[in-house]
Amino acid sequence: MTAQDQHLENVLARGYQHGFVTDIESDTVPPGLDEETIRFISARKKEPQFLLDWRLRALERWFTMKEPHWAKVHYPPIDYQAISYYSAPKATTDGPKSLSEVDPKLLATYEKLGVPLHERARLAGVAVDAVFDSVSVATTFKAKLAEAGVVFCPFSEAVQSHPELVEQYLGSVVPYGDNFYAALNSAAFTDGSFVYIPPGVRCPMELSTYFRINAAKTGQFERTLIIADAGSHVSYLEGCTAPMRDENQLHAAVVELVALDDAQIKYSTVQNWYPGDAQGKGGIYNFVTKRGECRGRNSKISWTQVETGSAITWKYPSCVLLGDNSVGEFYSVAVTNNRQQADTGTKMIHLGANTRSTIISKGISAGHAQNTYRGMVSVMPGATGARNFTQCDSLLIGPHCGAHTVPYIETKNPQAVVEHEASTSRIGEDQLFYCLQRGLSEEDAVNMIVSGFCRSVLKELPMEFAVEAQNLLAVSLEGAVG
Amino acid sequence: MSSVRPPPVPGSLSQAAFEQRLRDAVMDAAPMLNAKLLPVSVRSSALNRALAAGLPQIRDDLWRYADLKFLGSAPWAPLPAAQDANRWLDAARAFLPAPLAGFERLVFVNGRHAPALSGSSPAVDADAAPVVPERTRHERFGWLNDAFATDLVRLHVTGQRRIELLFIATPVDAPQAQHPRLELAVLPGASLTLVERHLGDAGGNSLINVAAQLHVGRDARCVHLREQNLAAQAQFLDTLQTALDAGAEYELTQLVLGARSARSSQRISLYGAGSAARIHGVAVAQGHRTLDQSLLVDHVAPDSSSTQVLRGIARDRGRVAWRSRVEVAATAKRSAAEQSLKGLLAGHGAEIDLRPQLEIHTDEVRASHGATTGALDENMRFYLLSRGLDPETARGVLEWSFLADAISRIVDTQLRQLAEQQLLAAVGSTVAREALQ
Repeated sequence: MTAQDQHLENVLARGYQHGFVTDIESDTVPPGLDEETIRFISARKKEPQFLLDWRLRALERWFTMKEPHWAKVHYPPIDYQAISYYSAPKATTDGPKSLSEVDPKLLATYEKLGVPLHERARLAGVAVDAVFDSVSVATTFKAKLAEAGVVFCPFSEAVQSHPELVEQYLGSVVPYGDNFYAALNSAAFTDGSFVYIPPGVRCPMELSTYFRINAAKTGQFERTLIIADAGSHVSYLEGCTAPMRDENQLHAAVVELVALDDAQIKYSTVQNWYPGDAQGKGGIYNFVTKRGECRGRNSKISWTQVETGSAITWKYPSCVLLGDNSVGEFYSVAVTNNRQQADTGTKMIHLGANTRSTIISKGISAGHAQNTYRGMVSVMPGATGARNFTQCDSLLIGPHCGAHTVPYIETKNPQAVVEHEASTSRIGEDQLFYCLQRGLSEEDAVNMIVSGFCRSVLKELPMEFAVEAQNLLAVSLEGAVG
Repeated sequence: MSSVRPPPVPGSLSQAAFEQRLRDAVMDAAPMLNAKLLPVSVRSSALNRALAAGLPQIRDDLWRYADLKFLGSAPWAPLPAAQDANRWLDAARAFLPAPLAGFERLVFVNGRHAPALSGSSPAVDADAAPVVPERTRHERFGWLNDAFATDLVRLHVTGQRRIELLFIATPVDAPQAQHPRLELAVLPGASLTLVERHLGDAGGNSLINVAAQLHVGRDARCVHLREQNLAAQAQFLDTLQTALDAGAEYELTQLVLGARSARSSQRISLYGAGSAARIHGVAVAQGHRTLDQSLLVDHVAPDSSSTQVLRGIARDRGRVAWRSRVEVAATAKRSAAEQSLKGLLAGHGAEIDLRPQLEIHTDEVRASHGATTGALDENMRFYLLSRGLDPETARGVLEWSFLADAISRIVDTQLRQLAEQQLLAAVGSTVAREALQ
């Protein structure tokens, strides 16, 4: 074994840095999903009748649906009745009124994760709605946001404070019967984030939520709903990390975005769930439905994601471009290592005239991992003047991994232009040689090359996320030379 | 991935009705199925597999864009031989193109060998054994060819040969099924230039179900031009399998210009080290035609290479759909694959669906693809109009140049000229024709 191979093994064998479990007393329902469970969750959260009815309809539909298997991911059968669908950290009161009321162990967890809640919030001007398992426990900068008329709160709170908005928009982008996992989420979601930006308001700060799976044998079913009213603008940041587990955990989130006339939504994600060990044991199953609708003229939705974690990733953040001149964007870096499997991509559905979309996807595969880009660009007959540009590149590191590209291009309007290009390659020996002979270490050279490979995506991230994403890439792949 | 548009439903035919139709067809066809060409055990096994596979399912991704509505009423039993053979031959002569200089000609009329229209070469080598390749469920209609083929071309090619195969369909009294079949082996070191043309008019509601298998031996070479230019109401199914040994070369050019509904399932397997495949395809869908092709290029051996250049035009309410997949196995180190797919939309009800796909299982590989769809470039059109061309001529020139990108890569001059002539007829560009002359 060469020194290079040895180094590669060492790097790949490195443990998950965020792997620890916080010992907090949880309030967990017994495993299983039925009408009783749904009624329990709904009652526990004091939900209005319309939401309970909606959940029950979703549950009914879910019972009739089959788990999809078209994605290029393989995992043992999931027993959905063996999962507990509600887990809430116990607090001394009904809900913390400020950070000082939050369980200190929980705050310590965030510290271990490197999430400097107070400092970061102050220094970067970021409001944080931190979600721990399924219940929001800390929210900052609310006053400043309220001043601007922005509603940014846990979903369960929005149900109480703005039921009319929730009723109007919930399920309007991702209906409860959209797919198997969306139906599951619609029935069983426990919390998430809600954002409403009033007309003409530019959100005064980046909005950020941290998700974290904690209690064992619990699924995480987040529901996020963001509505940008006419002429508004919002940038939303989502980051995830999870403790080490031996058993697989299920994450089935739904994110719905609505952009009305001239509104813009930028949704950024750094996903670093526990990916399982080198033998593929453990890790998060991440089945996420993310979709945005550009309903208004000149509206824009931009998805940016850096996916480094999860054992299984099944995720296709999409844009439905309904409004004339609306714009959809998708920027993605997906890194898989060891036995990770990712099947991710996007859908751009062009319905309005002069709609435009851009897709930039970078897939990096190492070890025995499988990384698939699956994307659809569909131009409907009414989308005169529509344009799409897609670029998806794959980088392979090592002889045992796989990189796959599965685009679908459907064009039904003769005035539309769709362009797609893709490439698959490995880190060139000439590139490495050049870097080494300029004095760089092998590790730095690979980092630099990978960073350059992903540059067009990373530059789309907000500054603080870009730094975090760079670190994640380095941790995942440094020295991994094929 | 879930679809925005529901996938096509194969007519109103249920699975049970499809099975019954096949069983009835076997009863009708039994006296015509020559056991010397294909043993009964092969036919029986193929039929059972086809029955087990059933119809393509509505959500089967590989059949997503195919127009299979005709399966609801399509016949499967092959047409009995004509009682008055001259009637078929006379009808076939109307579709017979001029002979290609230097080519041996073999003509089949309504699925049966027509020696009167062919040259002196036999269609079947006496010492050649039947070739029935392994098929997947996606090649299910190939099984039905195995079961129902009434005649075939079975040759072992040595030395250098140039062969022209003509499959002519003529109108008959009742709906008919034809099962043209090719089994060709290009032996090591040999060279075959093959022209395979499907022409004619089988009449409404008839079905043509082709199965072609080629084996290109070590260091052998095969240049293959396929043309499907059937009448506008034809229903065409096609299964092509080509296997390449070490050092073999295969150049495939496909002209898909006719039929109301055409579906082709093709697999080109690079089993030998250093083997190479070059694939050029052109499709022009007019009227209500749906031209659907699913192509798999399977890199198994190291140092193999493949290129694909596919160009399609959809006019009126026509649809061109291409699924073009490259799979590179972990054993296929140092392989290279390139795909270029382009579609031109020339009608407000037209549709282009492109799926260039890569599945790569090793890092020592170079693979890339590009795909575009759009209308004719307005700047180019404006330039031609400004030079005095009328709109129709300008369109013809631009469409011709768009398609010529694929066929200009044909190495064999005679084949390239043949392809050019056929495309000029499809595009209708007199200016381009004059320029070529």
